Amino acid sequence: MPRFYFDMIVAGIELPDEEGVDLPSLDHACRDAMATVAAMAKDHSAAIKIGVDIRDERQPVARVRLSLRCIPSD
Amino acid sequence: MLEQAMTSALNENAHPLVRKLESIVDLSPEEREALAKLPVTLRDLKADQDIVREQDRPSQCFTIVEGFTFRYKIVEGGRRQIFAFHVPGDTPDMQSLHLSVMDHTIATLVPSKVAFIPHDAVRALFRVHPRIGDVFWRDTLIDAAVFREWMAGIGRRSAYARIAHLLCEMFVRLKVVGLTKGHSCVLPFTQAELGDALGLSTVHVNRSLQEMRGDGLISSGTNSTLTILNWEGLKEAGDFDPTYLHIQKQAA
Repeated sequence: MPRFYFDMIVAGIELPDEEGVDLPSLDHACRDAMATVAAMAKDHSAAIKIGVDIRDERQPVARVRLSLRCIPSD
Repeated sequence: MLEQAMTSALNENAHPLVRKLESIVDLSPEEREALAKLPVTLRDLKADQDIVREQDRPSQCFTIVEGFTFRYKIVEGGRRQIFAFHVPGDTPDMQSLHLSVMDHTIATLVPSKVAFIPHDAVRALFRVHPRIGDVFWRDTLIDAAVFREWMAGIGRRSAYARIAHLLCEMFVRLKVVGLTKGHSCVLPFTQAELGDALGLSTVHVNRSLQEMRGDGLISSGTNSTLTILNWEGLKEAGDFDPTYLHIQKQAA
C-alpha cells in the first residue's frame, strides 16, 4: 500500500504529518482526509477553517479545504 | 492446518479466567476444583479469524487464554463497526448461553488461544456453584457498562478524548489480568481498527495519536507497545473515570 502524508492547517496553525498512513489508493486517501476534516469540524463546533495537503512519498497529490461559519441574516 | 485442537481440563493454560474471577471473589477450594474440571477444548487461532459469527447458534462459549478478540458488525456500504475489544480472561460470548442466535460476530485481532466450554457444562457449573454464575452475570453487566461509555464517546467526545479514553480503558483491563508492565502494555490494534472502534477515519486516529505523543501523554514503540507517560493527563484528556469497569481488588 502506498504511504500518504496529510499536512494540516487548522485555524492557521500548521501541523505537518511526520508519519504518514498506508492506504490502498489516492481515492481512499481523499475520502479519509475529507472524513477527518468533517469530524474535526464537528469536534470544534465553532467557526473554523481546516486545510489538508495530501502528498505521497514524492509529491503533493491532492488538497482538501473546509471553511465553516455561520453568517447571521440581516 | 495451523489450527490445533485438544481437549483438556481448565488447567494453568486457562489461568487468566481464574485470575479474572479471583479479582472479583475469593474462590473456595470447591469452586476452584469445579473450574479445573470444566471440559474445555483449547484452540490456537490465526489473526483475523471469526470465532463465532452473526446468525450462528452456538452450543459452546469461549474464554480468551492468550491474545485479543473483538466484536464487530458490517454495516451499510461494507463498513465495519467494532463494538468491543476483549482480553485474556474475558468470555465475550457468554450471552449465547441465553440468547440462542448471535447478533454480531467475534473475531481474533492477533493469533490467539481460546478455550471453548460447552454450554451444558457452564449451566451445570452455575447450578452447583451459583456464586460463579453470579460473577459471570456481573461480568455481562460490566460489558453493558462498557458499551454505555463507548456510546458516550462515539456520540459526544472528541476524537482525541475518545482515543485517550480507550487507551485508559484497555490499560486498566489488562492490568487486572496482569498483562501490563510498569506503565506499558501491548495493544495490538492497527490505526484502522482503532478507527473502526471509535467511528474515526484512519487519518484522524493517526493525527490524534501524533498529537497525543506531542503532548507527552504516551509513547508508542515497536510491537504495538503503548507506554503511558502521563497517566493523570491521559485520564483527563479522555474524561476517563474507571468506575464503570467496577474493578474490585486491583485498582489502577
